[in-house]
Amino acid sequence: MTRFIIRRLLLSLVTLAIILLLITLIPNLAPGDPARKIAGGTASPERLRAVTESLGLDKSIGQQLKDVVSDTIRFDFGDAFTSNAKVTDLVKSSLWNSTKLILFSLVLVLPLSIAGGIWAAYKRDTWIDRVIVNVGVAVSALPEFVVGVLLLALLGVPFAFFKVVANPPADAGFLLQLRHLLLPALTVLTVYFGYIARITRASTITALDSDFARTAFMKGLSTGTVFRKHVLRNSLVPTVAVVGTQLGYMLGGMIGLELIFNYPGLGRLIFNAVDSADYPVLRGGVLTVAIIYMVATLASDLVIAWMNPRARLSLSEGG
Amino acid sequence: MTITPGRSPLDDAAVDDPAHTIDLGSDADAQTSTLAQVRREQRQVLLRSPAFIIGVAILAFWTLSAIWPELLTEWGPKDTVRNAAGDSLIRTSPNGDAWFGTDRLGRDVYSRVVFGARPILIAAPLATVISAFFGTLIGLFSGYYRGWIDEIISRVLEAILSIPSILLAIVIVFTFGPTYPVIIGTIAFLFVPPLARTVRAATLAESQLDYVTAARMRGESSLFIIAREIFPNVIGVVTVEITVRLGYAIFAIATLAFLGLGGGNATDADWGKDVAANYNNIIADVWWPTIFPALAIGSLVIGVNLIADAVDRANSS
Repeated sequence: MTRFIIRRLLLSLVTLAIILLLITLIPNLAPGDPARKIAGGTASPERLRAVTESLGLDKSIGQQLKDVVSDTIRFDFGDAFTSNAKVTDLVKSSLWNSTKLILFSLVLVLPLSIAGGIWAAYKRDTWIDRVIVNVGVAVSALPEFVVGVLLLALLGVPFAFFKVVANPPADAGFLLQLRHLLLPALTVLTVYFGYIARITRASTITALDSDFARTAFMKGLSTGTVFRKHVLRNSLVPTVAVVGTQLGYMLGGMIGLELIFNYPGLGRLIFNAVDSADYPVLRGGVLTVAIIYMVATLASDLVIAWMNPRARLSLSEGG
Repeated sequence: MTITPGRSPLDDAAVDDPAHTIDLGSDADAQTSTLAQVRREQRQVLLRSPAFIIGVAILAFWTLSAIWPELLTEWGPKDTVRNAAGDSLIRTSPNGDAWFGTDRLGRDVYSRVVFGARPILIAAPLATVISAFFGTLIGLFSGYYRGWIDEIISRVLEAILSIPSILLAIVIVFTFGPTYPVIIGTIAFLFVPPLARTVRAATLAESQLDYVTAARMRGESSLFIIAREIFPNVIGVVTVEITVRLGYAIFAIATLAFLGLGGGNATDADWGKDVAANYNNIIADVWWPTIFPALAIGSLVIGVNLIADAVDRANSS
């Protein structure tokens, strides 16, 4: 296990190094003068110089790389280009908002999609199973902004209960805050239900078909007991792992969602950075998401390895 | 006629090489079935699957509107709709003159949805095909040769995979400028890693099988083995992965357009751009300029997903 952890940690460091290299290289690889493109054709020489500086292009690539590495280690991405705020402060406050949204969404998403998956497995090959699986297939990979506008029009406008702006007023109580977050959370539910339900279904079916489940049924235990004590323990591991790897995306990739519901999270921060050509904020936001994503993947890999020795073996042999 | 030993019918889903015959049952002599038969049966499974039929119907409709939009609508995407009396219709809800209503500039939402199929149905498949080409190439060589080059390639692929691709796409398109070549190239680049990884895993599994060893014993060149022996056997995996990627390419390109990083002019008919331009009016109950292009994106993604899933099931049936 120690060997595996060390190997896996080293792998994460290599990944981080490649990510930093990519982020540094992209503006340098852009053909022509990216600063001119971003600033616009009619920009003054001063503005052009400022944009070039904000991209880091006035320094050598080696120096840029060094800066990015030290910025990341100190978690200090300098000042924003379009405001005087520190990039790190902007990232922190929006990350906190995104975390709130995602935590609440997970409270809805996890029980419902896991229950859906278990139900589909229990009712295998019936119409219930088919509906859950096919709807799940169909709606996975729907852009969240598409689901967002649909829910906004179907629920947000006709029913006053649903709040159309996710950000609650400053003095809102806990329940009102949740009501404001309900529509975005339902959007996350729609996007992820099928995906998580399918994985739960597959692993539940594997567990149900295994010898220990058969033995438990033969012993005369009730279906409920077999599920509770034998099947779920084994079948929920992959689900937890998948949710772990998706956390990074949920926290920073849901740009469309945060825009539609006007929510000041990490996604909207990244969008605003694009909109106002603020490369330092864009880079800080994307790096933060990449690091969260990396840590989440690492954590879920370790959890899988801890739960399942076979996975440990295949990973440490370099599959 | 040769029999490839030690392979389950499941693996043979992908066989495309008429030189191979496959073993479908335990009794190889009596039940040897030809490749053509297997493929015919798979095709039948596919054509009988309702999900596949619905998916193809959706895709066919949007392909028709991409190729020949004038066939489906009398208005151009930038025309102002006028009713029989000659009045221009601004922001009217769906009615007889404009089935999907008109937007704030009096343009016909239905026409814009029909014309909006073209940009995404050119960009998404093109990006997918480019990434499929490079992904398959890298996956095949990486999985066949292994060694330290494979190790480096795998680490780089993993690193790219470990950033949500939409974020990397935003950074690249932002710095390179939002034009169609940049968008297509970016999506193609970002989809190489998942494709290469899948093909590499399949190649790794195939190259341990006896038929590859046999080919090596015959003294065939590595290039021949990769191209003529292994490649035909991973085509099934590639097909499924391409269809899945096409769905994600549509997702990514629509999202980029929604975020203001689409190619072409701001006024062009484009589903993502139209949603972005109009979604603020939903709360004023002007839902139609947003919802119809959003449904168009949704239906296209769902259609492609249904096809991908049906192909996957047919391959493993």
